[in-house]
Amino acid sequence: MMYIPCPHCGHRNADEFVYGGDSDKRRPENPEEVSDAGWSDYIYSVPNVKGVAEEYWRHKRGCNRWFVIQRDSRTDRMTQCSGN
Amino acid sequence: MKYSGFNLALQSLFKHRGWQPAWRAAEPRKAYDVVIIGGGGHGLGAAFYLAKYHGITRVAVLEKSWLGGGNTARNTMTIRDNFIYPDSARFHREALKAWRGLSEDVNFNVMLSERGMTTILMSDRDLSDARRMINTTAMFGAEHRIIGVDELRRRLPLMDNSERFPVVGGVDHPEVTVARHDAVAWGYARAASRLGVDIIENCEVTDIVLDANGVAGVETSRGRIETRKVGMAVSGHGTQVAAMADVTLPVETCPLQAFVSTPIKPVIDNVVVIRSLNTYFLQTDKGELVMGSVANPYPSFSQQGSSAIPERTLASILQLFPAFERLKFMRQWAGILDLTYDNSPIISKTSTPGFYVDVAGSGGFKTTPLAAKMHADLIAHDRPDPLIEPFSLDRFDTGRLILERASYGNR
Repeated sequence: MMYIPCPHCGHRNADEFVYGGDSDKRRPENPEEVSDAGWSDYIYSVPNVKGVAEEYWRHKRGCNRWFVIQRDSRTDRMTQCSGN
Repeated sequence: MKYSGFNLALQSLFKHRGWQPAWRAAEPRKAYDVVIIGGGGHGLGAAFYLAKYHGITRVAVLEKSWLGGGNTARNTMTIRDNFIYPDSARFHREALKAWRGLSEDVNFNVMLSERGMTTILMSDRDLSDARRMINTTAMFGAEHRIIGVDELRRRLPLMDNSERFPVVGGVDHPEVTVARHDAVAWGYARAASRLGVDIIENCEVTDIVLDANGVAGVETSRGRIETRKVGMAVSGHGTQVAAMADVTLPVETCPLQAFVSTPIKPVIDNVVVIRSLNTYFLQTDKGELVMGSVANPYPSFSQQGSSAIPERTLASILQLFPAFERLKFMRQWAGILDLTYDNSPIISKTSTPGFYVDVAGSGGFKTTPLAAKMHADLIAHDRPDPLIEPFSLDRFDTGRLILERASYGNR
């Protein structure tokens, strides 16, 4: 069983959370200037890191807030997180 | 030595001491015409078809551990063609047909068993989705058909009525097939090896060497190998291997689980799919019930998978089949899949000349012979067959996605 340390609610069952993807990803500043390949990259490319990555998660069946957390994708161990 | 009744009888006279290993344990040579990365069904198949149809026998298959130890060993054996979009319906239809005759082709019994599949429908939406699938696949010659509740109950006598989701009908998929998954890898390995392909186990590719003309070779844990063409047939680590060739794949790695019960007497002769509850199960020749569900809702390389999925899957199956309540489970496993955004495979050239990929089958066991054939054809001719053109990598730039929901990876 994987537990996720929600910064607001503490350790909770992973089933209560929704994965939100790479926390570094930013929507392009000037959408009209982005090429098709650039949009494709923004929409479909994911870093798919094997190792520790920072990700968004949302405590959907709890406080319903987003937070950023570090997870090792080799073990699913969550290491560090920050509020908001 | 050919596997045949005659040779079996002959060997029995010598107490079966004359059998040879099924494939040569080759040492890596300095250079090859083609290097295939990944010694599963797809990779070994591609090597076999390169040698058989294209006369390219200076081929090496590099496998980082043992043959067929990845997702070829971690799947639920089902070969089905119930897809929704014409491109993938056509492809999976052809893929299903490509299994027929495989045993004879490789002279190895892959235990193909055309046992059929039954889908249980529990809502009007299920029913209209099923009609859509039937109409689409009929264009390519598939024979799925809707069956009524009475016929469904005759086929699945153990099925109870569900209070929450009453059963409204079913779909009969008479051509859905299962095959012995390990035998697919062994059969291809043996047949490819007999045609001169080098199969090299315990040989991990650590880098792909590039020059101005594209691929120039691969660095492996057993030294450098020169080659102008590399075919990638890995699962789970497509991102990492493609990155060595400067190719970014739009895939995410997710565990997909299955679980197996203790063997029981024969109770079902079909693969059973419960559509609304996203689960399926079948009984193996040994009598075990194999059950599975959807991929994990978050990416991971852990080969574990969330425990919420088995819980939900079993609850769903028990709701309809309470007779399984006291079954014991022997094992659970998760294979890691490369999933694309549209749940369709990528069999394609890439921006790096000489680097080809067959990846992200989203449960790619079912397509093994066809994908391998197409991959081999692509490597040999450097252009895609019309059948796989829609599955090219550039569909993510053009927006021509094949958003296939009929895949287990469905999100």
